[in-house]
Amino acid sequence: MPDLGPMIQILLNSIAGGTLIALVAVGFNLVFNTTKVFHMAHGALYILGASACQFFLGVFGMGGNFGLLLAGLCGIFTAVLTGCLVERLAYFPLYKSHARETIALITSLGVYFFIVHSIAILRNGDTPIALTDREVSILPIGAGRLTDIQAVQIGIGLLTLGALFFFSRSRFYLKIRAVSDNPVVAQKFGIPLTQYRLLAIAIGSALAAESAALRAAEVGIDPHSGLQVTLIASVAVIVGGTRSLAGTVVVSFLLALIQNTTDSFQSAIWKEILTYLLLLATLLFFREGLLTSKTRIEEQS
Amino acid sequence: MNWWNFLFTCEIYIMLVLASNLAFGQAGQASFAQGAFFGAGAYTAALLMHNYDWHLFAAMPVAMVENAFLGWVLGVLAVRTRGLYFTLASIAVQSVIAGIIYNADWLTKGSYGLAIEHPLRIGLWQVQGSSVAYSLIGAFFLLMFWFFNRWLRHTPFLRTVNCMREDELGSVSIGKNPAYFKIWVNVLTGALMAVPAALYASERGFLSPEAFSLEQSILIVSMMLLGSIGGNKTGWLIGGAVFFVALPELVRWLPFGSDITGANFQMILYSLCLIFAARIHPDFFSLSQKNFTNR
Repeated sequence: MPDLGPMIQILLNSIAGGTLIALVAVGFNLVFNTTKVFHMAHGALYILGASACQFFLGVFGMGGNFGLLLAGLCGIFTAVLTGCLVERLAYFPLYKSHARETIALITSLGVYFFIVHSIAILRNGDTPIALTDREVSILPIGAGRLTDIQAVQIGIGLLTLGALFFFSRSRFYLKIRAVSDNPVVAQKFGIPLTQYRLLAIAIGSALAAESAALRAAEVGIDPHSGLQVTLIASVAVIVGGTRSLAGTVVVSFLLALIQNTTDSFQSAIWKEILTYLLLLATLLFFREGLLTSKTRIEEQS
Repeated sequence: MNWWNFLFTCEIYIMLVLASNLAFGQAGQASFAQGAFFGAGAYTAALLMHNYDWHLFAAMPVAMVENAFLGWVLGVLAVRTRGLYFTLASIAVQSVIAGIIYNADWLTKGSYGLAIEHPLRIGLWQVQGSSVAYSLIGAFFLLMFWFFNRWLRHTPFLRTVNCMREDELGSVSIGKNPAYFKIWVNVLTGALMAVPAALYASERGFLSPEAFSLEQSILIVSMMLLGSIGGNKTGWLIGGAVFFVALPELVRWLPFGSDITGANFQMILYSLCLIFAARIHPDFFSLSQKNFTNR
């Protein structure tokens, strides 16, 4: 019988990494569908979530899990607030002036650089953002092993994804879908456009910040990796089919599996390039994503 | 500050902007792969000069051919994808090329950067090390770019490209194939971008992969955006390039505690310019919403 140890280890790492990617990607999906802005600033909010966490951890000066939890919540709140500001100051004016998608993307890139470099000035440097430096304890699972932080990541991540499942069955999500399908008609039916756009971006930012806080508890986050985070999330959204939340989650786990497999069999440098090649292949051959039902040509945008 | 050095940097960026404006402004293809073209051209020329002792003016055409091939790849992507998805595809191309430059240690020396030991000499004229001489050579190429740009704007080729940008179905209806023009305008852009790239490699004598990242693309796009406020006129494009090259010099005069703060402040200024340029002029080029060749 072949040695299954490495395989199980890759699988476990992929589940932990996949939940984190899935959180960011679902957030990106919500914002992208609702506002039709290719939300590059999502990565900036991710970085903001992690660095705000670190800041509040220092302010509270509390060790232990309770302090970490409190700082995490404050970090998420900061990211949500900033996300709403971005929507009100940058994205909604674009919607009102009927700007093209590409202009929206360029604006979003501008917002990304603004936030990331403001954070760099406030933190006074480019040191990685890390929350704790305590010893990890290791839980053996089958032939593989899981660190306690990874277990927490999987736990909180899956809990959030479960909550999102119920959210996607609620009337709030139905209205967000209505706004993303046709904002003008949705408004005619009495759905307040501005509020639901804000709701979508608030949830999206919260998910990004949550993922960032969970990641920063494990390893340091490079404060300039936000763009990569957004792009990987966008790969998950586009490959999974832009309209499908479930597709996004499934492809996130798939991406984590691909990344972890290349990590262990090839040198790590090809990980990123492989992700972008997957994006190119999807854009070229599966424009509607891998996991969506066919739509009519008139409906495709 | 060395004014000749400043002049040379301005020339390089004006050439980059004029070249990439063909695909970005004239053809309306919002690409973010300029840094990849710049980097691929610079590294090709640098490797030929460094490893095989080629002359700059022999290495430049080879870099142009190589960049033209890269442009063909981007052109094919432009035919197959549209709007936002093309922008995303170009970012992917940019990241793949930058990743290869950064990671292929055996070829490009990776993150250590590539030092080019090849003093440029034209006849008896020792050019290397003299920023005056490089500015003069740059000015010569810039003048050629200017005349080429002027001539190109009145050719049927560029008019069809403009027509395709405004109304793709319209260009199909007069018997023009948008796929053909999309590919050729990208090939042309790529080839032209190799000229400033090779000059840059020769003048600097040292290439670092950080110079060809997505940030570089965004800088070049910002220059074009600022230029586009004046309706895509050459003068405005040049003004945009000079403004963004001059900005760091202005920031240097401001009193900051450290260089890091200054560099970050400069990026904040760039990003504000990007946001406001997009706000002032939301329709700076028309992007066709539907790509009819894709049906």
